[in-house]
Amino acid sequence: MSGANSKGLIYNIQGYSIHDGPGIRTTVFMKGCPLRCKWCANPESMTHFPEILHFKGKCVKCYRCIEICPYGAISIPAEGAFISINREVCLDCKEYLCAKGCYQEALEIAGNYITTAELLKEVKKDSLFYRNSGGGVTLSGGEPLSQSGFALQFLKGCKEKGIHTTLDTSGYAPWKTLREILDYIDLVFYDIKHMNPAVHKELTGVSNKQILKNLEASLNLAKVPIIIRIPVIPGYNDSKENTKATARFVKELGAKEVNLLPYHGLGMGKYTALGRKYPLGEDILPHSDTDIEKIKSIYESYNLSCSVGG
Amino acid sequence: MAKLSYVKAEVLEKTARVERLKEAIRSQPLQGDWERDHIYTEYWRHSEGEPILIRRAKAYDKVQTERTIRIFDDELIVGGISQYLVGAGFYPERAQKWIGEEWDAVQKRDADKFIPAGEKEQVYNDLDFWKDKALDCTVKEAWQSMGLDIVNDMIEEKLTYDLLVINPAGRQIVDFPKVLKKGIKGIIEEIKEIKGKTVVVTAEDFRKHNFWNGCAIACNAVITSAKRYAQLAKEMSEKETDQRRKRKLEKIAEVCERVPENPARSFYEALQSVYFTHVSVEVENNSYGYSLGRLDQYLYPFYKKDIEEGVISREEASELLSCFWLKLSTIYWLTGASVVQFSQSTNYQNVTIGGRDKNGRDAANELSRLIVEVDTVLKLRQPTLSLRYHDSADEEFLFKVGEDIASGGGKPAIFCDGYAYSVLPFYGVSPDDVVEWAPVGCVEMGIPGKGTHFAGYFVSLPHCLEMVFTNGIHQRSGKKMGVDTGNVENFTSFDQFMDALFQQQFESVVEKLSMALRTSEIFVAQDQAPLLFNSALISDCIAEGKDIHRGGAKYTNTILCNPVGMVTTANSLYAIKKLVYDDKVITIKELKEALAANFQGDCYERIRKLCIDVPKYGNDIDEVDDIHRELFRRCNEVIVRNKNGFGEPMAPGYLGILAHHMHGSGCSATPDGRLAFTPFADGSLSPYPGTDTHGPAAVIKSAAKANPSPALSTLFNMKFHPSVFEKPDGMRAFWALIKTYSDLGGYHIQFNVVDRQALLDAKAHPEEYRDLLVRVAGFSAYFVELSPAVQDELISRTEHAF
Repeated sequence: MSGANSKGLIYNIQGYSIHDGPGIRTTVFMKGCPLRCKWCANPESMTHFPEILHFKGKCVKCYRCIEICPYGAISIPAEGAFISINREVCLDCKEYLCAKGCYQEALEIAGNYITTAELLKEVKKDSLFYRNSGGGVTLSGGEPLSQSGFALQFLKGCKEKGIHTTLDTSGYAPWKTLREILDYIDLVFYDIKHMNPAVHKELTGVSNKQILKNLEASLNLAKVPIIIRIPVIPGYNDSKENTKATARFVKELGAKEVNLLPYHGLGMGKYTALGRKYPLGEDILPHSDTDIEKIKSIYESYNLSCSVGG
Repeated sequence: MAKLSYVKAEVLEKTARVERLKEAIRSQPLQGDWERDHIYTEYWRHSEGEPILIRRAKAYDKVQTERTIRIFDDELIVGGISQYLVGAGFYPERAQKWIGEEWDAVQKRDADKFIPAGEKEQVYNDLDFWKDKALDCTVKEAWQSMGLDIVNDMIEEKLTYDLLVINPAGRQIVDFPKVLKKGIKGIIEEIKEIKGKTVVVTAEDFRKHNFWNGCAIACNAVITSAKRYAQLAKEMSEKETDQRRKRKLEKIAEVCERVPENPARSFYEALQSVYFTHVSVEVENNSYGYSLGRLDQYLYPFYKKDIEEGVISREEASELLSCFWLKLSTIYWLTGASVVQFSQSTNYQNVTIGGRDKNGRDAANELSRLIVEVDTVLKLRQPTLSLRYHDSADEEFLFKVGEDIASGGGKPAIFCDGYAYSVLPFYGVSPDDVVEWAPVGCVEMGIPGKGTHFAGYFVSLPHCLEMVFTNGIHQRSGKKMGVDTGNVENFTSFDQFMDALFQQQFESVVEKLSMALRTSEIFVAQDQAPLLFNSALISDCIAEGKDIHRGGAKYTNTILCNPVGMVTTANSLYAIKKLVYDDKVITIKELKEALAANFQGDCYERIRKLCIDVPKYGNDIDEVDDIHRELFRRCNEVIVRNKNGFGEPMAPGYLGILAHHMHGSGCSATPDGRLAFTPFADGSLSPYPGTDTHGPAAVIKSAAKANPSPALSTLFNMKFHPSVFEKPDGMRAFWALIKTYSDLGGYHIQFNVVDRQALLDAKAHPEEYRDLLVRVAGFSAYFVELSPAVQDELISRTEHAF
């Protein structure tokens, strides 16, 4: 897993990203994440293998995909119904003939393997935009640290070209992994989802111990500016108590800037497309601007600079 | 109203007066006013034998002297091209046929409805007079005599379009600064002086003599018209009981008595003078594209002086400017159904702001900012607003412009100074004149007061592509509109295909259309429809003694050939190259059959899928973009080999307006997967809807590779969701995007910041909006991929996005 030929699994390269760091950025969304946050807006980012998304809005039920699939993974449960995909079978597929053969583009593959050289070539195309806007590349996910070898090679490549790099991370990785990568990073967005380890485990599937420890170590390193990013999820982590605890914690560690990401349900459709259930349910309502302002003011009362929405 | 909290607001809420005037204008239906046309026809009936230059001028004088004039409630700037608050005449001396045919239908048609206001018997009686005299008959007779009957079929089958016949002149910016400085009086003096110096010896001298006399008559007619308004305002003020309105009417009387006859002395007089001049140009030849040029530059001295001397406040200036803006929005151009589908009644009165001065410094001033603010607040369909972008533009000003863009409506359009500065010298434009350039009409480069533009013609490139497959025959009509290029199945290489397309099909069509255009816009028009007032305000018409149709303007070689469907053709050619010649996945015979069958039937549907899956323009992929670039090179090469009627090369232009709908409706299926008789990609640089899946930066890169030089125009539309502008960082990134486009040599770009309606449409027709981005931190998705519930949420949020 090293050198220009090492391959990583990504699910999107998004040009003209303007909310994931300074200037015009290209955000590379890496696939695979050890966390399972209930509110995750990019559910296609979770697993470490390519997956099929089926967008019912585009599907015209022509059932061509059923004929095309050599593994018999697609079927219809009943006459006139939408297709059903046996995703276990898909794990062994490398051809994705169903998506390639869909006239409506209702089937899409999330995740493709790419070498660092290919990825570098891709992001370099936008270098003039980076130069004119003070932008660069943002590595997001999924969890980039889950593919640390690939990420490291790619980031080294960026630094050789003088491209500004931002890491968007949950912080859930061995310290050594994160430490190594920080040498090639100009800015970090570091997520804190909840201060209570037990609640954190319930909401994300993992404890926050390693995450908070890594944050402390990263801030102590004082090498890279770190912006704390907090997804604010109504009823899950937005209590005054947890907000204050978070503010106190990051302030004491020496963080200066907090970035609130208000909950949005934009990712719901992708759960359906993946044949999964949205863990939060469809009834959850986003915060009002006033609610967010209140939370913001708590952070500001701890002398933290606080912005909303990336 | 859309306001961005981080952009500094300098003024202003609309005043009550402006609010009322806006409401009055919006609630008025558009009226087709026959009065001007009847007066004109009456003069024509009784002036047989008069020299055309005098006859046209006198008919104009009669119109300006006799037509009904009105001053409406709350107006501060007065005048109009019809007797109604919102209206226009028909100009049957140009095109009469559609009027008679569509008189009863115009109220009921889908787009651009209007009320035909005129007594039907009189109208048909007048039309009967024109039926063998109007340009739309004489042009066709001339074509017939030249063996160009096929052009009528080309129009019928949308290979080109109607404007070739009915609208010779129109797109120019007259010399407003000269009117402000010397007054119309000064121009009449200039005419007298040169006439006095000329001894009439040759027939050419005599024609000049008539031209000067005609110009003087027309100029005097404009003064007469203004004085009639002065008189009317005076009469109204005497009867007015409301003291505030009375004072306003007295002021209007005073201003109209003074301008445009005399030099303007104040901001108010300057605005009224510009409006009268503009309206007088339109009364002579109502058309699309009469533009105002660098309004923020030539009005600024008046504004500055009045503000400094305390003559008016900023608020008063803003109110006057708002009234001026509203009055521009009342000017329309009436057209028949065939033209409506190409441009609608939008008449492209382009106002330019920004740019640089002669020392290369940023020319934007306080008035430029006021103009943007008025435009943002009023949100009108017209005027068109354009920014001349350059790197030294002030960021605060750009933010203000960005706020206007973010508020929707596609205004202002952005034009990069760099491209204009590099291309205009090719047409012999002097360095001093280059500095003054401004867009005319929708997107074309013009030189204010010194250049004139004719309508030019559109030619559908995908039609030419179709004819490569059919050996010169247009499929639907079965008519031979192209030339023999042999059986496409025998072609052995992609180059052979390209040569057949450009050196044969395209070239033969362009030759025929150029000849048709020279005939209609220059030869027939100069004898039948010379323009006197228009010409008097364009250098060097007076000095040369020639109207614009005879080449009197200093810069006249800007007669455009506009290829349409560039992106559709580029995508199609790349599909042919890749599928047939490179990868050999299908044969040209299979493709030909699939196209003829409009991809219907299972095996053809498979071919369509292959065509669709081939990479498309707009994703920063060199292989496709190179073909797009090559199209510009090849088109330009053919176009400049043809002459414009003055012996100079035709100029290429790539402005599509809405022509992609109209031309697409006559063209069979294309190898990019597009189905028969559906629209092409719009403009010349916009990706085909839904095929640009790599974001705006990639689209910009693709567009900038085109190298259209020496084209006088390109057209490039981009869709954005308002979320892009929510924060100053987003705004800054937006301008970095524009800077990059400019750095890479781009010319024009405009943004469609989608509103609620567009999002509803996107939900219903996802295939056309696949490229619509929703920008949220740490989240990756396109609008069309969101769940219906989430789409609804975003739709509901759009109404109050700021």
